[in-house]
Amino acid sequence: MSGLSIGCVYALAGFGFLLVYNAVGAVNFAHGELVMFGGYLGYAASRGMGAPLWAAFLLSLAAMALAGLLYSQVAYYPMRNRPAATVIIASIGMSILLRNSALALWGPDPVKLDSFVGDGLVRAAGVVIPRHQLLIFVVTAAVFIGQSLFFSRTAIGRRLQATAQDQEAARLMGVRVGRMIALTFVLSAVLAAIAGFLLAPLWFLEPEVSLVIIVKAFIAIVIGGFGSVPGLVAGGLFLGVTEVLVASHITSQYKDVLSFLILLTVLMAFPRGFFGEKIEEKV
Amino acid sequence: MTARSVFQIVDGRCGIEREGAMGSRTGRDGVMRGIGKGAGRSALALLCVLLCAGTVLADVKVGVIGSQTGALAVLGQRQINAAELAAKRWNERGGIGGRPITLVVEDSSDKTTTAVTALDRVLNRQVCAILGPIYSFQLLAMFPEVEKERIPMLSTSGTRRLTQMGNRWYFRTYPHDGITKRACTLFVVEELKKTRPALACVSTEYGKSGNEIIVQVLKEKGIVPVAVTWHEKSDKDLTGQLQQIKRGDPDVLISQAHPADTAILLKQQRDLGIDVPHMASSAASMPSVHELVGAGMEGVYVEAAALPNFDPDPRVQAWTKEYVAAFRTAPDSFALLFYDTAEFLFRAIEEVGPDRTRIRQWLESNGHDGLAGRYVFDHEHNGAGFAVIARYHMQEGRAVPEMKKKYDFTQK
Repeated sequence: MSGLSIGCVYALAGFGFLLVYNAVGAVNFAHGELVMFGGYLGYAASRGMGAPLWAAFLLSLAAMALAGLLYSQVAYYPMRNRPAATVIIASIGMSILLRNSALALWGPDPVKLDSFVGDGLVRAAGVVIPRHQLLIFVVTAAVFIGQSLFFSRTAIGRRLQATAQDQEAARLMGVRVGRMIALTFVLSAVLAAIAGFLLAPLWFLEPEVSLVIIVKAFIAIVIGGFGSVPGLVAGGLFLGVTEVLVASHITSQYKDVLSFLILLTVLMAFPRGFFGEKIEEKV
Repeated sequence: MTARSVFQIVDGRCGIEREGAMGSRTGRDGVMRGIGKGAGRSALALLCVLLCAGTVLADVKVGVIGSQTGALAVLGQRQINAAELAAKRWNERGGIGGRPITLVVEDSSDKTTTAVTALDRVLNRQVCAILGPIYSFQLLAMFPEVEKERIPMLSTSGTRRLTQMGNRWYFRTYPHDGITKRACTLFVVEELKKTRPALACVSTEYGKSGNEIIVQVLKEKGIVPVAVTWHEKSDKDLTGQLQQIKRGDPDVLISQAHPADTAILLKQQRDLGIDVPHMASSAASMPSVHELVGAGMEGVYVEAAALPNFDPDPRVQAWTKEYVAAFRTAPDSFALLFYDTAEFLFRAIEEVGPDRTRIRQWLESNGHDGLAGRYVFDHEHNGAGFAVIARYHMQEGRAVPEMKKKYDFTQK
């Protein structure tokens, strides 16, 4: 159960990352920092301003939406016609900036954000599950079902998909590509805030947690198949369960080594990940 | 050709007519020359005075290296604060021999590379001694340079191995693992009467050192751990390790970990329903860990060198109050002992001056009564031999320790 809940968090953290990649083909290495900031803003609102947790959550969503918009204008738009390496370097620069900003604002001490369902435990059939882990399952399921409906059943979702598939064609069809890209960054940041709120009660918040988040999310995306949302879920769950099973039943000392060996083996069997698609381009 | 004739030729070419021997002349030139000589001598004298005054008034530079960023900053910054408080107090009293103490602070972050870089920066500032970081993996990386530069370094690291490597320039001012781990293991076996311990250790030098000593002491008592798990200092989920521990069916959990992972261990132990006493390492005495763990601190046993926030000694209480006022955060035992370390070092410099060798010799031959206890260095340069075991209880939302047993192995 723990492995599955951790896997859900990896998937949720990776979803915003994937949205941006699918839309603009850019890898955003600052996404871990956005998740971390989402949690910190909630902490600042609930502990610093004394706001109830639900209000802190809404404030964080709003603030992160704005942050996503600003991010797209500052870190992506000026570089959109440059080589991919430039965009990646810009995102790494933003990652360092955001991490150190968090350090300056909130200091190095880990802090805890309360869970919406408290610290209680649920005992059933000899299994003990923290209530917060159940919340993670529910929220993750809701997010992924919601995104599936949003992208397939709404006009704006279809426009976002069109932009992700082919910007030029979308532009020719009358889609305002620039606005769709900005909206993608906004959605990505909002998803990061949700992931931050779920992660913070579990892992505690500190500036360095962003590095762990981005690495795990990236791995989940790769083994699930770059660009695939179902693959992301499968990859996240696989990674979370693998880590827990290896540490629990094989070795805790070499947990990371063995986990990565398993991942490499999976990639050798599925080079494009579980749900990766073979894409051919006509030259 | 004489100097005079050369002078005449030069003067002739310049259209200047001169009379008499070169360099001596009555009249306007002679007066100007005299004024020039006098001004030159006065300037030289003034320069000498200023240089001498500068030497006399030059500050005493002491290096301070600690983690201000990275995964380990929660400990490092508090120690740096403590050193700054000590320097401030000394400077308010006139410094050392009338010379102000200047701390050269550098961030060692959480890697060996950043620690060595910090050391290089500090050494470039010609410090006479260094208050070093607490983390042994960083200290081990810095040792070769410290020995090469022949500079005393003091720190509050507990890892046993540090003072067994023959580095005559390193001084430890914290009870090492041989004392603290022996104390907490003996407490678990003799006081709590437990026979099925599980161990959860961080995979740094600190964790490995503690693990070795705990296992050795258990072996002396004829006990074998039912489970031994390891984790990285940056691990955020220890469910797998705790599941392994749970399967071993222990009657006590002994942990040797850093602050953030100690908090995660305590929290997730409770989340997984592992309902056995937890004997945690000194990180669990930190107020920042109590903030994270919350009600999960109830019943947790902790080994620590000191408990500044609950010490009945009025001097410690006054110090804690001053620390909180200055830095708006509660100190922990590491901060208190680092403060004592700074005071000990400043005393040494006051006695023998900012001479590295003489500082070392003085430290080896003298003791210091600090706020946390008495410091006397043994032949390995271990200076602190005291430790306490406390059990925490929640009172009005605050984790409050109840002193269970005190150990003191200090050389008198």
